Formats: sequence, C-alpha cells, structure tokens
Amino acid sequence: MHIQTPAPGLYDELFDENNRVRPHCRMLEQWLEKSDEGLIAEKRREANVLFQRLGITFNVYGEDQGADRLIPFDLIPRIISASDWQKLQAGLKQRVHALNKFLFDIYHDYDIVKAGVISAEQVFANPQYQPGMQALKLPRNLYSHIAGIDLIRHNDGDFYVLEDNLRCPSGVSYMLENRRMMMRLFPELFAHSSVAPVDQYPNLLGETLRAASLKPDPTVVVLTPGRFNSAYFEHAFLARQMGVELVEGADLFVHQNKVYMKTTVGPQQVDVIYRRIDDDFLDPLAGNPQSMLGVPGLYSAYRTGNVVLTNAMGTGVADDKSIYPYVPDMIRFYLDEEPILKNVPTWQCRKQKDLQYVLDHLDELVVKEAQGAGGYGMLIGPTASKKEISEFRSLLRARPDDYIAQPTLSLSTCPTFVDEGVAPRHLDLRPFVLSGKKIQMVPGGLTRVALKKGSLVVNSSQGGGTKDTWVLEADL
Amino acid sequence: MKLTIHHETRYTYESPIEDSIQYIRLTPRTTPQQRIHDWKLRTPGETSQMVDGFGNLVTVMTLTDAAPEITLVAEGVVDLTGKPLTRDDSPFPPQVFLRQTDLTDADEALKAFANEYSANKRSLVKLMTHLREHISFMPGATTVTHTAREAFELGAGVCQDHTHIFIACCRHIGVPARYVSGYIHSADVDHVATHAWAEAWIGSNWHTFDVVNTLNVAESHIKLAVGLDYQDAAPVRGVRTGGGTEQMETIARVIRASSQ
Repeated sequence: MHIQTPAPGLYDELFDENNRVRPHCRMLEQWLEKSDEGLIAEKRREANVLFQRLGITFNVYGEDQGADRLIPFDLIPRIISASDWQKLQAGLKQRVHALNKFLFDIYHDYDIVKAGVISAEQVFANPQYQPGMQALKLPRNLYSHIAGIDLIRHNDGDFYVLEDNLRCPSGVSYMLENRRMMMRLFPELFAHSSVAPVDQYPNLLGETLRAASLKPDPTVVVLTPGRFNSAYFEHAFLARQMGVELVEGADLFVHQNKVYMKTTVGPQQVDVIYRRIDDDFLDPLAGNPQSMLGVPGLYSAYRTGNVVLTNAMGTGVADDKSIYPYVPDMIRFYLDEEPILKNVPTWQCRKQKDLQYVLDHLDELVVKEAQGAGGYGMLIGPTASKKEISEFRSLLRARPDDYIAQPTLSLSTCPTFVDEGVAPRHLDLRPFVLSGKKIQMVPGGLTRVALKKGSLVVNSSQGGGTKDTWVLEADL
Repeated sequence: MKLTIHHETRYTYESPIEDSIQYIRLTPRTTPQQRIHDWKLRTPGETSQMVDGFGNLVTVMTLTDAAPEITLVAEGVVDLTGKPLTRDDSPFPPQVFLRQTDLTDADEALKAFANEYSANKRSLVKLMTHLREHISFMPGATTVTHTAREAFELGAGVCQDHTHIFIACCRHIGVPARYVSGYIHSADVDHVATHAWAEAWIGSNWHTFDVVNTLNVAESHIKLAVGLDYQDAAPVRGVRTGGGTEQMETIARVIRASSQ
C-alpha cells in the first residue's frame, strides 16, 4: 500500500523530517508496504463486527436519541520508542505525585498558598474546590488514585502535557480492547516486534484500589451512574476484569456511617468505591438534592473514614484549566525537582495583560473554557471563521475568568487508514497513572486520532477515532 | 445572656414511611460568642455523629423500621457572651466563601443592584438596609428551593431568601460571605425563633448581617451551622422511602433564662 508522507513542519510518528522511516517504526512500515488493500479492507470490516459484538460503543452527548455508536478504530498502531516512553513515564509519575501533594495541601495547611505560589482566590473560590474535604484524613494522603494525562507531541518532537484528568478519566477500556483486537487480527505483527504488554492493567487497577484502604482485604466495588452513561461499557468491563461488583447507587445503602452493598446473602460492608459518578451526585444529602444516582448518607461514611472513594471528592480543583499553568511550580514546590514534561504556555484571561494579548491574537490561539471538557466550548483561531472569532471576542470580554488561551500546537501525525488511502492524521495520547502503595503505569495509553484531514480535535464526541498504542520494550 | 431553647419539629405522613436517612444540624458548637450547656437532640431511629467540612456538628439519623411520623427535639441552654466575631472560627481561608452556588448565583438584575455598593462595612450596612426595604418579609412567598435571583425578582421572601440575596451581592462585589442558620431571641415570644443570617468578611474579620432584622451585631443569635448557602447549613436534610405527602409542624422557643 502507498503511504502518504506528512506535510512539512509537522512531527510525524512514522517518518522523520527527511521522510525517512524512523528506525523503531521500520517493521510497521514494511508490513504496510506488503499489505494489500483488499486484505486491509477485510480486516477493517472484521474489526467493526467484533467491536459491535463486544459492545464497545460510545454514546455521544448532544446527539439525537443518544444512539450507541462505534468509535472508529484505526488499524495502524501508533508506536512510541522505549527511550521516549522512559522519559514520558518518569515525567508522568512526577507530575501525578506533585498533583496529589497539591490536593492534600489545599485541603489541609495551604502551604502553597501561604508561600505565594498560587493565589488563595484561585484555589478556594474555584467551583471545583470541595469544602467538605477540609481536613479529611485519607489513607496514604492520596486523592487521584487513577489519573489520565493528555499529551501531544509538538513539531519540536517533545511531548507536552495538554490536560490532567484527575476526576473520573475514561478511555482505558479502549487501550485494552484495541490491543486485543490488533493481536487477534494481526498476530504475525506481534511475533516480530517487542511491543510491551498492557493487559496487566486490570490487575494493577485492582491492586491500586485495594491499596486505597488500609484494611488488609477490603471490599471494592465499581459505582456507575448506569447503562445510559456514555462510559457504561468501561465501568462494566473494568469491574468484570477485576472480579469486583459493578453497582449502581440503589445497590448500596448507608447505616451508622458505614456503606453496605445489598447481596443475596445479606448486607456486605463496602470499603472502597471506584466511583464513576461526579462529586455533586454522590450523596443527595450533601450535594445535588435531586440526584438519584448516588447513595444518601455516603458523605457521612466518607467523612468519618469508613469508606474510601477513588478518586477522592474535590480532585477537580487540581485539573481545572486555570490551575494547569501552576503544575510546573507545584513540582518544584513539593518535590524540589525540575519538571520532566513540558506544559503548554498558557495565557490566563483572568489577568488583564494576558486577556489583552489573547484578544489581539485570537486568530493564532486556541481558547478554551477553564471548566470545559470534551472540546465543546473551544475556539481554534487559525481555522475559525471571522464570525466564530468575533463571538469568542464577546465571550472573553464578558467572562474573562472563564477562559484560558494557548498557542496552536501542531499535534503530531501518524499514518491512518482513511477514504483516500493511508494518510497522516493528527493524534494525542492519554496514558493512565495509578497511585497506590507506589505509582504505577502500564506501558501504553489511549491514542486518539482526528480522522478529518487537518483537524486537531481528537475527541471521540467530535468525530475522533482511536489507535492501538505500542510502547517498544527496547529500541533497535 | 442565658437563653433556654426548645425546638420541636414533627413530620407526619400520609402512610408510614419505610425508611429514612437524615443529616441533622441542630447542635450548636461552643465558640467565643456562645457557650453551650446541657444540649440534647432527641430523634427516633439510630444516630451517629460527624463534623462536616465547615466544622458543623451533624447528627446522622437512620430509620429502618416503619414509622408514622418523625419528631426531632433539640433543647438546651446557651450562654451568649456578647463577644464580637473575630478573625475566624472557620477552618477555611475566607476565599472559600467567594464562590457563588446555584442558590446564590447573581443574574444581571442582582449584579446591577450590588454594583452600587463597595467592600466596606458602611456600604454593606447600606446594602443590607436597602435590601430589607426592597424585599418584604412574607412567609409562604417562597420555598426552600427558591434562589436569590428568584426571590429578588419576586421582591418577597423569608430570612433564608434575604440572606441568599445579601450573600449573592457580597460575592459579586468580591466580599466573601457565608450563610448561617440558627436561632434568635426576641422579646416577642411568638416571634419565629429559627432564623438565618449572613456573615461577611471585611478587612480581617467576619461581621454579622441579619438582613431581616437589619442588625449588624449578633447579640441575640445562636449559631447552629454555616455554609456556602442553605443547602450546606440546613437544619435537616433527608430522604425517605414511602410515606406519601409530608406535613411539617415546628415549634421553636428561645426564652431568657432567669439569671442565677
């Protein structure tokens, strides 16, 4: 098959700047070269049927009828060299370590605020700050046990952290299923390469969840909002893989500050809840009184130390886009280390000087809501229409505090099967970081790819697809 | 001033309820302003205790047997010391109370009203006075789910609404403000004794703003709980299974104890 070479000025995961195949990708390129289009088309159909049968579908918010839909899966893997991964892994562990220390600090002694690194208003007036977490003692002082960090590779070849997801990051089931799919469709590819396995993730997740409690053999459950949630498949999948119960709010109850699960042999006390429900919906007596998803009284059990929530309540304050610019300083402050991974330079529109710069350069910048997620409330200056830019100008003037802006980064590209053949498309990466007795990762993550030519929006809700992510055990 | 409090709340139901769980904030804490003697909270079912993030004492009541009614009785003796509010009795930096909530979020009308005032005590006292003139005290005009914007537009409400509106204005102009629920002693015995008021952070101290009574001292106020809004400080939040329609009766008396 013919592989289109990337546009100049971009970093491509397969080709270097002289359009030569990168050494660690040669095996993939040779496979593509000798694969015939008919066979690949056949395999793509097979993959679709298998995903449909497995039930890995995705509910798109804002779409009529909320119909289940497949996230497009691309057969060409994205390859990360062993040396790149070493650096990524060290950087991600460092970052999550500092973020957990920040969360502990802002719910206890506020050292970072007292030291003047970040203002009290930015931390405490943040809508994601949970007063109910004040002075709560958590085992191992851990808040975000499961973190998903979004990265992109810029045209300088370096990885940049785009966003930290410390609440209920999803997508790990795609990492696992994409790998299974590739091994099933192309076993010969794995025979000739040293791709690091990812299938130990459910074991590590189980280990992490058990380590969230100080009890010797804690009972762990996965709490889901139910089958209408877009990530329900993942909740069910992870519970099954770990061999723990998948429950909804109505399956649990609270008595005398303890949480119990209703079982056929009577109530069983629950020690750790891997909850995939937002803070405000966990307990109608503490958060949203209308919530039917949570468990009345859950907060009392949490507050008195009789149950552990993973992730903790109130982690959103640390992954808010307005706090993001301070993460490198957090690493210096708490760990006394230099950040290994780069942050994207960020203008905070709450600052008058930054706002003025952003208003003057709207056609060059990406503007995002400080609280947003999912790529909805976003302006991509270079590709936006005059009308879109002028709409954002008014939004920024009306509510500057709600926005941040960043330079338009050139997300790296990777060859992808599209209608016109094999062509470069932009992608990002979300690896998962687990914090328990120690910080652990599996070598891999979720690679999302923007299937539209030139598009930089990889969100599955906006027409993005996924790829298998290969981390090599050794570079050639 | 020594005060004796008797507060009884009775919920009756169409049919017996099957079970219920409630967070009850009816236990005052001892602070420099109030000393608590012999406080008792009587509830049916089983109870346990917690201290919430704001430092409020919360009784968690669980009821697992069918019950035709629930009666909560809180009573005790409190000594008000008359000391002014100080730097802080809250575990938080005051900036926590800058955040608007669904109940306090200000709309354009409220913002325009608030913009006339500034972050000093004299101006906020004026704000309180003008609000009280603007919003009449009218029991039954609003319910516990009314927001500050709705009550402001309606121009009527009860102490909870006056407090939410005042807090909404303060936060809009950058003054941290918090919601307080409690009791108030009034010479008029028939006066409703359960009450809500606001505290605002000015300079480096909290200050009382009892909007309904246009008072900026808490000389006859007993504090039960504080929070961002009513939801955080509500005396009772609960859910139940069964029971049909609920009726609530409440008696609250705060009487000056004979001095000894």
